[in-house]
Amino acid sequence: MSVSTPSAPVASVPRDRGGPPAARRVRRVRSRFSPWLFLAPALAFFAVFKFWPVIWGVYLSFFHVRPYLGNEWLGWANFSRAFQDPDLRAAVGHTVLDAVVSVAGSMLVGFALALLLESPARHVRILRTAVFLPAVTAMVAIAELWGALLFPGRYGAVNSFLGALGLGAQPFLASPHSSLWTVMLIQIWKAAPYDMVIFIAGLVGIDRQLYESANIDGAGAWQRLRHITIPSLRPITTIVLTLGIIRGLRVFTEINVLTGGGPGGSTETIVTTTFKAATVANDTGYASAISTLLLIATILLTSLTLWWRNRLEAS
Amino acid sequence: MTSSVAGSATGGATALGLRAPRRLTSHRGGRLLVRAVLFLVVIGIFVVPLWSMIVTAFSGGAPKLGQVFLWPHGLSAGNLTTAWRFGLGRGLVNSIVVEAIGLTLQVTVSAFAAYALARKRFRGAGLVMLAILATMMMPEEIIAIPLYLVLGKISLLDNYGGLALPLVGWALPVYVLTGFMKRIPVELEEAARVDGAGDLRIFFQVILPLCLPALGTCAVFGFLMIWDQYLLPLLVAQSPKMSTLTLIVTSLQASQEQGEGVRLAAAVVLMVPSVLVYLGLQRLFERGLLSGSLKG
Amino acid sequence: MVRVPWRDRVLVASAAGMCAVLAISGCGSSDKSKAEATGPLNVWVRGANDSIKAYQKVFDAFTAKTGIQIKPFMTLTDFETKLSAAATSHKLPDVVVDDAAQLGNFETQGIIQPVDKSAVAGQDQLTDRAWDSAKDLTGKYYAVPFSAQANILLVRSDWLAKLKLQPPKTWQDVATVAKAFTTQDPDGDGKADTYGLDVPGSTTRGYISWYWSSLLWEAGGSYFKPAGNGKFAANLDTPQATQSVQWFEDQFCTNKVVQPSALNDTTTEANKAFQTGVTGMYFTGPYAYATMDATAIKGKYVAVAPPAGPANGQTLAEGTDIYLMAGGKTSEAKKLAEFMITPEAQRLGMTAVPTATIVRLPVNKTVDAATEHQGDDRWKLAQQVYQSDGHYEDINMPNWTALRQATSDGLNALVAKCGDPATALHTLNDKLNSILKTQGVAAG
Repeated sequence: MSVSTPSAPVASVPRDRGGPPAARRVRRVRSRFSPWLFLAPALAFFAVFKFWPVIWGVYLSFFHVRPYLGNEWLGWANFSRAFQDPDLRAAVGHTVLDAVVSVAGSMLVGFALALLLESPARHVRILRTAVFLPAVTAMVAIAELWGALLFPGRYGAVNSFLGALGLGAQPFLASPHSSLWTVMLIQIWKAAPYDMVIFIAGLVGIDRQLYESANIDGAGAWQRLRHITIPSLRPITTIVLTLGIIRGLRVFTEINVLTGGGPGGSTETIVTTTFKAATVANDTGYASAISTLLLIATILLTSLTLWWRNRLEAS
Repeated sequence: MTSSVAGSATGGATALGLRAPRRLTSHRGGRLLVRAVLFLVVIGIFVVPLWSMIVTAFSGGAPKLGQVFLWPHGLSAGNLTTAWRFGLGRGLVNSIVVEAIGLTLQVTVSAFAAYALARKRFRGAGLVMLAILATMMMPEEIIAIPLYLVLGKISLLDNYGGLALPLVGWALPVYVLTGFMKRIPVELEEAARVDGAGDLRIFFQVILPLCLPALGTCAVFGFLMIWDQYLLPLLVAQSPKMSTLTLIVTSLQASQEQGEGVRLAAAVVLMVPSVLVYLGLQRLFERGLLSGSLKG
Repeated sequence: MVRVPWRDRVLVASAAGMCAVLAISGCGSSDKSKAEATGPLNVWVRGANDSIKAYQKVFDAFTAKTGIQIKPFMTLTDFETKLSAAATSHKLPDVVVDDAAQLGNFETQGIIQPVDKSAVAGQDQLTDRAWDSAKDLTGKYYAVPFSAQANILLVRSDWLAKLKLQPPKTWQDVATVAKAFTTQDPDGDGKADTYGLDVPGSTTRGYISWYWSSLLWEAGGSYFKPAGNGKFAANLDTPQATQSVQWFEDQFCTNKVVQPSALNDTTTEANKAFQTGVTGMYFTGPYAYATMDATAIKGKYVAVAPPAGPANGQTLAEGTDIYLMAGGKTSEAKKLAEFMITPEAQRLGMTAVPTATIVRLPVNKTVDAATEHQGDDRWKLAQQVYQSDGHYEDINMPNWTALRQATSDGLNALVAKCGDPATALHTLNDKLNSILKTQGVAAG
């Protein structure tokens, strides 16, 4: 396959060890080419499996795709349909809400965990490792686990616990009022330990002298938190938060496994809508148009964030 | 930056100074109690669910729809063998094969690219880096449908190639390795060059050995990224014999007569390898997490 | 002295290694493209577990008779997803065995071939009703029928006995029994952990609409009304439709007798709920006999005719069809279809694997379900219900699954929010009309 061929020519180029002028010229030629030879395999993979699909996807957005009947040129129709589609609008709403709440929630919980579990003591270290396990576990396994634990019946695991506390059984994923929030809780459960580790590193990086002088000044724990800890962590936090939210716009796995978008479409997201348009309604063109819009939004938002980071760093 | 979270606090004071010397001992007792309660809450929320998953998976008896055990109901591998009968073993083998192909190529290809980007000056380097970073914004979820068509065109449907090759090009390891290689002192390379070493020799004999920790970090992240795949195999694996572990776990949910126990047993099998990798290479993993470029 | 430089050796080795990896990972595909030219017949069947064995028996008999090899592929999860993905990349199988309800969906995509009914050997042995389930709106045949069925009601007989109740005969009875099953601890474990009605209420594959259809017809309603010239208007903003939705919603929202996860459940979870004693009444097809008898509730439930609604006792009838796919090996595919409707294959489908009846009611007139399953009166019931009260969905519409999906989305949302049926049905009616328009059969 094409991926391996670019490295072959190098083998045929004669070796040189400096010396005579002819050899030196060969060396110059090679050093002009050699970075590209090293890059070639990676670029080939990126080209075939990233850029080609992206370009093809944009192209398909302009068609009513019918593999066995011939594609039909639609112009901008798929895009204008996307802007008017109330189901898609609802899905965008769910997606943005989900991304913001789950990412911000993970940060808050992660920060709390970091404050609690930041200690070199052995038992705390073991607990920290255990708490981190959800972060490395595949989302599918987590979704299956919580899908079972959150069974909406009175005997469901979490509902039994709530019952023991004297609370009524909750519908969780089974009601359109609570389904999206339940999904967010599961996402926070998985992502918060990640953020915990980042925050612990941030905490360690804070100049200890600040705390000591604060102690001398008689500042309480809350004041230290407010005036030293949080300001010190703010730069990394905002960037991680924004990029996390942008990443959250592509949520799919947990939704598809847990609710399939239901009930009543209450957990439908941009990507599940795309997926259904392509596989249930067999409308590849429309699905591509939504994907293209999502891609454009992602690129714009990311560029904006990076531009903002550069400005922050400059100031 | 500290290399590991485990070795975080230095000296007596912790970062927050929560346990800085206190004068009132009664006050301190109250604090300890609060801490203990908070620890229990954390255990209840983060550890008990995983515990109940393992307990239900290896209990005997057939739990009802939506029933999960907190305490073992007899020890049994029945759920696991049932799951095995429905293709769990096949899924495990497939996932391992995909992981082997994908991860090997991913790390190799990224290391090559990183070498060029970090140690060579050439026209277009900035553009290449930008293009590679741009692919971060093109995850499977966004390009799934056209990617599927591309795979169909080059005969990569329903085979290991289709499951693994799209995962090879990943910007994260290229970025991490480039950053790492840039920090290697240029004198080492120049010394080798004076000895007459070419690019490849320098790459393999000078640069790579120094990059081992970063390569390890990339391998851990790559492993988890490939192990996590769901949407790609959902589209690419058509026949059950090519199903990866994530697909088997979700299709067990949809087979008849399967209880929560069977489904959770499969989920445990899906979870164990990534947990082992994490526990084994915790240090590398945390270093990667902290080295600036976070989560793919 | 000629020495291969170290650097070049590494290069060659790594290039060779990469070639090997790529070759290995791509190897499966080259076999496949060769197989499509000649090779075995690729047959995709929507099924799982023991049905796979049953289909295998039918295919083995076919291979023994004709020498034509079959490469079957069977899955239950995401079957249509995989099929539409295969269509998108021009990798369709030769034959697909799937619900009759998919006919319009497949036809609109252009992925199935029309069938010349008169040229199908043994076509005269099939019932007219079965053939009707293989026909589109214009009267053209696009499939060969394989199996038929009508839904019946499964009720936990031990629960009825414990609470001294009779199997329900009307909607009112169903509501009463469901309430009792939910509140009076029919399993006697002292816990409130049972529910009366088992509903697969997910929108996946249109399940909730599929379930509700019987209620619609039993109330005297219909999805569409003909407007002449092969045109239709949606007919869901009628008092009959409202009445049926109201009753349905009451079971969820007022009486709360449906299993609580219902709105995310497909038939898989619904089966599981009935099998593990979570629910006491399950409206489903007779294929469930085999599935349920394989579990702990064998002998603890009865099958009864669907309880009658205000208008009648009509119940959902369904078929399984054999589709010949576009670009496939047509003549061999046709031979397989012709074999699958023979008495021999129909019998195999009914009884070869006791735990999976892939042929529920035979489409072949010369075979009789009650005779084949002798001693099991439940099949006699299934046959009677199909003949007297079986009512097919509007599968002849240009694309019924699109209409069913829209109905499902609307119903699922309505019941989830416990909204006003009339308002929701009005909106849904407009939506169906607009879909009819895109399918080119809207009135006016």
